[in-house]
Amino acid sequence: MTQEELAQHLPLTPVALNVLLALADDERHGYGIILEVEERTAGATRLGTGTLYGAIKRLRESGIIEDSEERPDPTLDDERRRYYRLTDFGRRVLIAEVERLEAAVRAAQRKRVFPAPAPGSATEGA
Amino acid sequence: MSLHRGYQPGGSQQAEPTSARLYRTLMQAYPEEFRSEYGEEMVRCFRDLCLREKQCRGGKGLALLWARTLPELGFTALKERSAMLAGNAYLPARPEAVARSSGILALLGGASGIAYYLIGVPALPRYVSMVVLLACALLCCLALFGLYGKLSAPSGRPERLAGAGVILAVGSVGCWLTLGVFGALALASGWAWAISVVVFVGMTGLLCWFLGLLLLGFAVLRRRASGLGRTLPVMAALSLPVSMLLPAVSPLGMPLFTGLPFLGSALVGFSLLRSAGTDPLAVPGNAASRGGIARRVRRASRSGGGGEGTSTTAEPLTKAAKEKELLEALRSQGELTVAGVSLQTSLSVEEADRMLSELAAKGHLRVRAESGRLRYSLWESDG
Repeated sequence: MTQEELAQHLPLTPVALNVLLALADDERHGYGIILEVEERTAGATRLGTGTLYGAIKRLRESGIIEDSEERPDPTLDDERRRYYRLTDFGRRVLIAEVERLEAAVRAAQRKRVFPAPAPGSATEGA
Repeated sequence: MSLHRGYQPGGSQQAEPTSARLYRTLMQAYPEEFRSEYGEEMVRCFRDLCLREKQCRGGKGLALLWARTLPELGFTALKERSAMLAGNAYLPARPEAVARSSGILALLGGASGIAYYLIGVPALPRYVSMVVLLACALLCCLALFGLYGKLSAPSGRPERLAGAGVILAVGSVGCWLTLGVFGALALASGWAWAISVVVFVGMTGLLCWFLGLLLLGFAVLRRRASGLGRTLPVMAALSLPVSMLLPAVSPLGMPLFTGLPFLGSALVGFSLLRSAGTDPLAVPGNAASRGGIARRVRRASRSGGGGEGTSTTAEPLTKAAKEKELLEALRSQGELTVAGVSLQTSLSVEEADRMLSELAAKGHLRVRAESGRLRYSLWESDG
């Protein structure tokens, strides 16, 4: 997979980025993605059903996400639900997009339109 | 695998809530292939959202969810439909059928509009008069869909000009329908704001009608179509401003000029019907342009059968040879894209695209869309 192929998918739309971030740590169904995005953004982003599935359709067609073959236990969840997960290519697209955003943040910090992290804050979290 | 609390075991066996049923009905707005792939999941997801909102915030939460969902549903349905049209050769309806039926309706609308002005307005009550006029305008605007159908028939794919024209056609139809509702309200109540809305919507509808016809007319002209259908849409479009401007300066009176757009639409409808079998709006090179070729042959024979005659008779032969080359490539390779055909033959990409579109539109080739690209192949019986 070349950088050119990755670059074709960038920049990601905000909806696509949110969907990929939701799938970054776990396989999820559509409703699960909506809940994760809402929780992560503290309610600031609420994906609509049509918006979500439109994005899922395009991401699946591009090979960025795929259906998970595993099915949940019928006693715990509706077995008809489709779970989605990131493909290897999708993970690389997500990393490339985050790097692109990080570069934009660094540029903003250099131009003093965005506060630079306090000294030592990077090591505090580590 | 992450499970969420929104799900209630056994919920799938329960009767579907009213909101989910309503959402399922509204999903008709999405294209069929999108519904068949994601429809059930979307309904399930929306049902879960409804249950959560109802549990957390009650009826107010449910109302807010619907307030967010309705505009989003309309927007995303339009987006999916336009994505499908841009990447798929199979239009939701057969373009030829669209052209024929809208031709009939436009002819009917145009003829009714002319009759309305000839018989005279005072004979009808105000409300009935308005309804008749709106119905005529609505039917006439359907001619725009017919023109679009004819334009997209050869390739099954809309071009930008025709696409913009049909969007305006949708706008004009929407305006006439809205005008009907507010017109009734204005007549019944006499509210000044309702009358203002009627005037605004009416003018917007006329503008959409004019621009839609003009854009589709230019799209027809670009196809270098021959005969009656070539300039009619542009003339019909121009009749709209003429009908609005001339009564002010002409002593001939209102009815003559206000009937002009209806006359134009009736003629466009007539042209669409007349061309249903012969396809005069199709790209040059197929059966539609035979008249043009015949004229050139006659002209050549009159001028002594010189060089022009030679080039005219050679043109179909070259086309047949190219067609043969293209079909051979499809037989040897199985399935090809336009670029693939261009690589395998001496055809340019543009030529390959045009020929493949023509052959597919006539049902000689099989087309399927994959990852936004069209792939052409021979039918099994031909291969």
